[in-house]
Amino acid sequence: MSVKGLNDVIINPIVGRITSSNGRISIFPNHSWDIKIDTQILANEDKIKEYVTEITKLVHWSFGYKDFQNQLSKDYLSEKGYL
Amino acid sequence: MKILTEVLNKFAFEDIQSFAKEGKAESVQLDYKKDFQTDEKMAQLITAFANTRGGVIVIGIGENRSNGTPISWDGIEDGRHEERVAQIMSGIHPVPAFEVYKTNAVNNRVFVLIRVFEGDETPYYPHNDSNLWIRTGSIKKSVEIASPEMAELLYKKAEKATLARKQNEKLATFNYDCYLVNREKEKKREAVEEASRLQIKEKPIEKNKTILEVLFQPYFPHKDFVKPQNTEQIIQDSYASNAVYSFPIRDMWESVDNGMIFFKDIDELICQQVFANGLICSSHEISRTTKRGRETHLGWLTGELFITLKGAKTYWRDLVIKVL
Repeated sequence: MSVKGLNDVIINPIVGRITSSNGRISIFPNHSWDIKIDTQILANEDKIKEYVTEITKLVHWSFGYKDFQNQLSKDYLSEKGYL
Repeated sequence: MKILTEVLNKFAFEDIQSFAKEGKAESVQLDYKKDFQTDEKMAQLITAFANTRGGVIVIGIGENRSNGTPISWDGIEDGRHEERVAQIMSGIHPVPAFEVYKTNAVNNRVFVLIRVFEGDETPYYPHNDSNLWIRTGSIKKSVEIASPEMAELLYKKAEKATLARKQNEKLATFNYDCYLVNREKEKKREAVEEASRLQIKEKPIEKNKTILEVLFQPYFPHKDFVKPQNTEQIIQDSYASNAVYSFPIRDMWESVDNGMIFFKDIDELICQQVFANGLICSSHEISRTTKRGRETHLGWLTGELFITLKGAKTYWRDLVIKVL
């Protein structure tokens, strides 16, 4: 997974149960993450959600947001219809 | 019954009996055993699966030796079979990824299902056995010693898979870039006409856009599972969507080498690609212009990743079912 064209873009993170509107401008123009997923996870939607939440945590970390809370954020993402 | 594509722990004793009655023959990825064989024989079989394409071993089904179809499905006596499998696995190096599952017991009889995953640390071999075993798909001799050429391939398998994955990535990027350039040209033509009328400057398509690209492919890329022409229906059946994204999108897809592509640059840039070998790629604009400037939300990224994965999962399942 990769994101390109981040020059001067404000990156808004998920903070607890909300999306912050005080995001910082990205320092890097591009980002990429190597994702490996196996069939045991793919076979179970709950496991996919857990996995995607873990990836989201990793993405937050990459952008300098280190306080990602898995369960709260997962609940928020489900409420918003993202998961 | 989709024994090769579903999680094993959903199958009951009766499910396996029904599956056996369907008469499905053994294949490269499926093997029947009336009972456990010796640890040595079991280790050969398991390493053959791990060295080839992975698969499922069903213990408790007896097979017809001439055509590989089930002839008995009585299960085996209930016992500590998971421990037995763990013991067999300890005699293999390196230990491949596997799952073992014992069904519920009926009259003290159970079926044992062992799923062995195609390994990325080939070659796998039984301890105290100088041979490398591979799965052939032949009914008469389903497991055989790898030829010197095959053994060499096994030693280079991980390296070859990495190269194949990179090639796939290049293919998806090449398609996307070609469609982008084509759209740039179209826009330029439109813009030249518009610019001469309004005296404004045109913008290149990707400028001022943040693009999220999600690309998934099998860890061991194989040749096409189906003919590329057969992917269209699978794409339509794999649709998934949530509050932020849809994949594969329900719209007009175009054919490209070994697969299909959807490209649109109206309101937002979106490009989705799906291939007969299981490669899928989604490129989508995820930034919006607000009064603060250009912004993106990491929640959007999560939503797109999730739905791409969900659509891909259905696509892969249907792709594999078509060849079973």
